[in-house]
Amino acid sequence: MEIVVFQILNGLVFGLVFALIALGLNLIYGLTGLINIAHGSFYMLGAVAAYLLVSATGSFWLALVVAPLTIMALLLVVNSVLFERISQRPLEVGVLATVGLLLVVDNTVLATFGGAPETIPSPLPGAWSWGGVSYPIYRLFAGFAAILTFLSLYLFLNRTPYGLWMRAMPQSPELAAAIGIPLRRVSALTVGLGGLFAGLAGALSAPIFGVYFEMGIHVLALAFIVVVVGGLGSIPGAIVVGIVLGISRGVFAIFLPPTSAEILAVVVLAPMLVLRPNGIFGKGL
Amino acid sequence: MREILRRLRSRGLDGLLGTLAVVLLVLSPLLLTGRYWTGVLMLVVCWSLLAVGFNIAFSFGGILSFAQGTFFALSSYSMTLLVAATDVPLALAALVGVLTAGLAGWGIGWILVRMNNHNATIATVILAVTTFLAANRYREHTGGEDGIRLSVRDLSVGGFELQVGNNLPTFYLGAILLVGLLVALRWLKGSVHWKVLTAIKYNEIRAETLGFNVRAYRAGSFGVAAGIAGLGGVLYAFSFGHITTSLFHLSLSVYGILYAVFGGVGTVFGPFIGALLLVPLHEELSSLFVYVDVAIGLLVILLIVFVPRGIVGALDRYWSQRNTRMNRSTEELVDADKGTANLVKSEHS
Repeated sequence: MEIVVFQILNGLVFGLVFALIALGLNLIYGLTGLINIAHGSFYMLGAVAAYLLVSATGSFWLALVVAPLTIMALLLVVNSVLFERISQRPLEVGVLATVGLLLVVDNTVLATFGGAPETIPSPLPGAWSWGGVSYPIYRLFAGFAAILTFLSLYLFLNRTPYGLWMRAMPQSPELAAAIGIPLRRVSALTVGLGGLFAGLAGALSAPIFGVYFEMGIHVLALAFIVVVVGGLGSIPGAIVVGIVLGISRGVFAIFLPPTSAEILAVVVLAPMLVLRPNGIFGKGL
Repeated sequence: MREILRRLRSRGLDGLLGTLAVVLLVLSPLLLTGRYWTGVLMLVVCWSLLAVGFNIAFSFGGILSFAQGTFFALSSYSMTLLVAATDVPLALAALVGVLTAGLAGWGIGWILVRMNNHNATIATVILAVTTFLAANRYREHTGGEDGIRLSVRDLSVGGFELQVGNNLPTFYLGAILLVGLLVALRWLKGSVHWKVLTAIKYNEIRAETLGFNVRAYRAGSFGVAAGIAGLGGVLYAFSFGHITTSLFHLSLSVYGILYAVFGGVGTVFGPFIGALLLVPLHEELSSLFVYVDVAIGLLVILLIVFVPRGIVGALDRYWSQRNTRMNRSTEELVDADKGTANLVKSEHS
């Protein structure tokens, strides 16, 4: 029984962190129409940045704040150098350019950081026990941090002018331009937010999963299936399906080794694509 | 002289450059001798098939596919595992490998054509990454990163005997298959099926209204593309005798796409020309510095941003524009109309 609760909690935390990555993908897609294949790599960069900051300063909490901001700044640069040139062009231009970006980022990290996995000691050691079940405190913290981020995003989208503009632009770019919304700045902010979330997911998961250069490509399939099943561009879709995927992965992990559980979680979601090819929350474009 | 030039221009550069490239490939073993270069030339053939397959999946299946490498690996693994487990002759096992890839592609194609283009592309990424994870998970069958060896090397088809390996006869076998395929594609260009495919490419709804089963054509194209990638996988196993799960890695598909895009997507010979130029460069660069993928990634970005038509596509366009002095938009309209107009004509005849 304990193992069941433990694995479901594990899956829930994993799903919440995961939803952060998928959310960034969907935000960027909604505003710029870009499918950012390199998004997993920015998650990996977040974890690497957190590791380097912890090694240099010894403080995880500082790293948790600085690493996501660094990734956000990096994505703002990438946005002005690359994304703005490709966002209005055919699908294949954006996809291939971001694939190129993935190769550049992953291999640069491999060349500088190295291929060996590194670990960060848990910043909140100890476990929380309740009725025979004990669960690491830090993982609970990571889950709550993700939930807090979703709430902040909700408030941001619904209470600020930028949030209003970010919701308006995907609905009708022409109308948004006509009433004077600063399209470029809103797009840049959205891409930056996507980077912030990816970096945060990376920093949060570094003490749980470790840090290695291939962690981006490993989350890529899962992040994409969350995005496609939830509906490309849909914010609630990314969060709901992310959590569902995480929990089902946790349930499978009760009786399977982790990699098999991950594969099975994808395989179980795949029939959804046959039933609703354009996602549960998708508009069908 | 002027007459010859005019005729060449009207036929486009694709065929001309393609013929040059084929001659170059067939004659290159005269200059580039030794096991290393035979291996590189063999890679040119295998990666060309990957790129040609991508081109067909993209141009006629309408799917930007990251799963070509998956079909490549699937076919080479099916053949190698079949030969290891049974005493099926190598030629038959190779055929089974190619058919496995083709049928898998066809089945998956049926699902993909029901999705919109963006989701279909993402679905191929999911497929590629998941099979890579699965292949490494079941390393007791796939051998993991250490790989497995092709246990039988005697290929015999109807009295024709060949010891496959990193040797010239295997290279020429691959080259003949590749060139035959390209010539067949070029020749198919006049057929009714090709016209239907072109019509679908330019205006899917119009083609559907004319009564063609667009989804069947697209899924079929995707299956053929997967089979072609599978042929590449079989030839790869023939030549190097050893396959690893790294064949399932997403980067294999990315290389195929890079060669196709560099040469020119939508042309017949472009993907092959792209592979012919880039594969030796890639091999030479990787002997100079290990993290060659950083350079490859930059090349992909620069290419797709600045030369999205590829070298054959860009040259061809420049060539035909000089010839006809049409501006771009008119030419595109004419192209689009030609697709359906030809179709209607062939329907009525």
